[in-house]
Amino acid sequence: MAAALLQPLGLQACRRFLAAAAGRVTLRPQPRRDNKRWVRAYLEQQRRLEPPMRRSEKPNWDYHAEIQAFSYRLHEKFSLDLLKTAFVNHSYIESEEARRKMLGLEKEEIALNLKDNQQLSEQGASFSRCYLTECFEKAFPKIPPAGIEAIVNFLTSEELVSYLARNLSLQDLTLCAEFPVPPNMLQQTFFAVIGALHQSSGPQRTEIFVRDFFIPQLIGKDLFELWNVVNPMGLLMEELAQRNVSPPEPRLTRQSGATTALPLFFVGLYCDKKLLAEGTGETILAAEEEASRVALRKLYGFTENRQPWDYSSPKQEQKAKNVISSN
Amino acid sequence: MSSYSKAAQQWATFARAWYLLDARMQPPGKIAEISSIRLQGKHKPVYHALSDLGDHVVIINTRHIAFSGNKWEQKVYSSHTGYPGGFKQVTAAELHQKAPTAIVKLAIYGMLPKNLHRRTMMQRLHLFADDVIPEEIRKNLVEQLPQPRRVPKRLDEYTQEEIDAFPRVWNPPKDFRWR
Amino acid sequence: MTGRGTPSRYLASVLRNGVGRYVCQLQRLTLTLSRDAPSSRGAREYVEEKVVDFARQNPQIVFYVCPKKIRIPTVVAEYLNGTVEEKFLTSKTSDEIAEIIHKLANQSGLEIIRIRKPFHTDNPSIQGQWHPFTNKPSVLSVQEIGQQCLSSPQK
Repeated sequence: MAAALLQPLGLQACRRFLAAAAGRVTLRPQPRRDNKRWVRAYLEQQRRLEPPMRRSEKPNWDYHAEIQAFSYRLHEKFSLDLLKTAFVNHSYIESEEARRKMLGLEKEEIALNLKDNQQLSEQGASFSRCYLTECFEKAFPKIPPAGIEAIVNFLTSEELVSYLARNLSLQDLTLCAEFPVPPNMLQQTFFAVIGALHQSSGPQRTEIFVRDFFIPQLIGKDLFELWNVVNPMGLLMEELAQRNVSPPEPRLTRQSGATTALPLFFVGLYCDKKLLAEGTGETILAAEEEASRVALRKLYGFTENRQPWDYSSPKQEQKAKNVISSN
Repeated sequence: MSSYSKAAQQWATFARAWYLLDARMQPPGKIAEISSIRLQGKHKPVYHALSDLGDHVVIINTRHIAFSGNKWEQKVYSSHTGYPGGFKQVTAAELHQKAPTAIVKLAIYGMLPKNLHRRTMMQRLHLFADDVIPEEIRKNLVEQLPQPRRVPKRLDEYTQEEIDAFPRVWNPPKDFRWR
Repeated sequence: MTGRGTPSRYLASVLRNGVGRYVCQLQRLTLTLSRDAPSSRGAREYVEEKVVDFARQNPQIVFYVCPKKIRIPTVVAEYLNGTVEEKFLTSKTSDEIAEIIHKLANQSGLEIIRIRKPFHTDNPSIQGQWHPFTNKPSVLSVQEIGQQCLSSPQK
């Protein structure tokens, strides 16, 4: 015991002697043995250098619970089998079968009892396109079929649908060979989910679902951002000819700084001496084109100040109808 | 309401306008006040100091400005050449004789905000001593601003009909002796 | 640090949430706590009393409870747009933990940084945006300005 007491004293005496020998008089407390300063930075770096992994490969993942939560999150009742089928991609089945073959399993066990989401995806895609076309034909009856097709193509394009799917975190639930999931796979999976909903809950609920997720993406968008029209003046002439109105006469209404590098021109289109639309631009030609675009927007009813989209549920509409009919 | 495309709408909102102002028989201070407001862009509801949305102002007939009171003889414009003994003081009349646009220019320069934008705004100001302006500038003009001061008529500018139509208190007889 | 030194963003929502239907943005919560350590006492009480009620009331959030030998109990929140947020629950009472989890459930996954403007609109103008000719009389388009100015013979 005396030796044990002497040892630390001896150590301290040694340290003091060394410190004095080095020329420093202050005593320093003993450093902490764990938690070095560099550990946190090192762990952060390791986390950043990790290759991207699927969420299902990381700890804490329960597929069944996630699928259930997915259906609750969207406020929809899916049949879970259909929903699970909707997330299965063809590439996943192929890769799984290849893996099982590599592991040397028997032929019966190689074949997975999983169905593809191809059929559901096609169903969902065609249903969405049909419904969206119908919606826009009702809401904007004056837009020609080419325009409506352009809008529906924009909404069902790979870019937008994969953006929707990514922000609903479908990439965690999809079973796919590649990671990160490519946009066309996400698009296919999202349409497969819609197809699954169609088969589980019926067309009405699916219509409401498509309306609630696709149509808000049109907020803040202009008609000619969605529909690329090369010759707006020609299109305007056709439209006016259909409505038996004389062709428009462009007139320069306002101008400022015509000889400068930053001029401003306002060109008005007049039909029978009545103003149809006015457009503005850097050059007179640009202003005329803009005026024809404004005229088209007004004719089709897709102006900035149009009525916002009606998201009220059909049940409320029916109740309102009943109330009105009873009165 | 007017649904332009976004680029066209922004171009229109931030475009520069060209204003014409006739300074004949006007006090240069009031001319300068109007001009400085337009040059800064303060007449626009979308004004912001960092946005550089001042307009161009073209002032004609600066030779014919009219100071009120005795300012032509009493107002002094001072400058220093930088060399010792180089302090120069000139009355308004002398300066106007030497340079007919200088008075209006200095008045506007003094009314603009004292920052680095001032020189850019002065470049957008176009002063002409008489009413002769280049064709290019004339084509750019948008609006003529109303003159700040109502120019009074001289007695010989009244027509005989106006003089006759003016109400008289009494008509003196022809041989009345005016004191 | 000033607003300019730190990152900032505009007020926005994920996928225009709320316009069509409201989707709860919190996807899953992972509560990691220790069986024995004193710092995760509040977390243990939360797990005993409140976690089941919370999970029943929010069927759209997947709640994982992970007992592990760690010093600091944490809750990791994963959102639909991919954001992952971690909060430390060392020596917090179970009420405080419930409050933290309630707050995480109500957040969207957008970053918690300075919001430049507390408002956002997609229809900024109702009567039409101003342009220099908005309130100018239409006679200007026909009038010739500067008629009294004769054009000079030189340029």
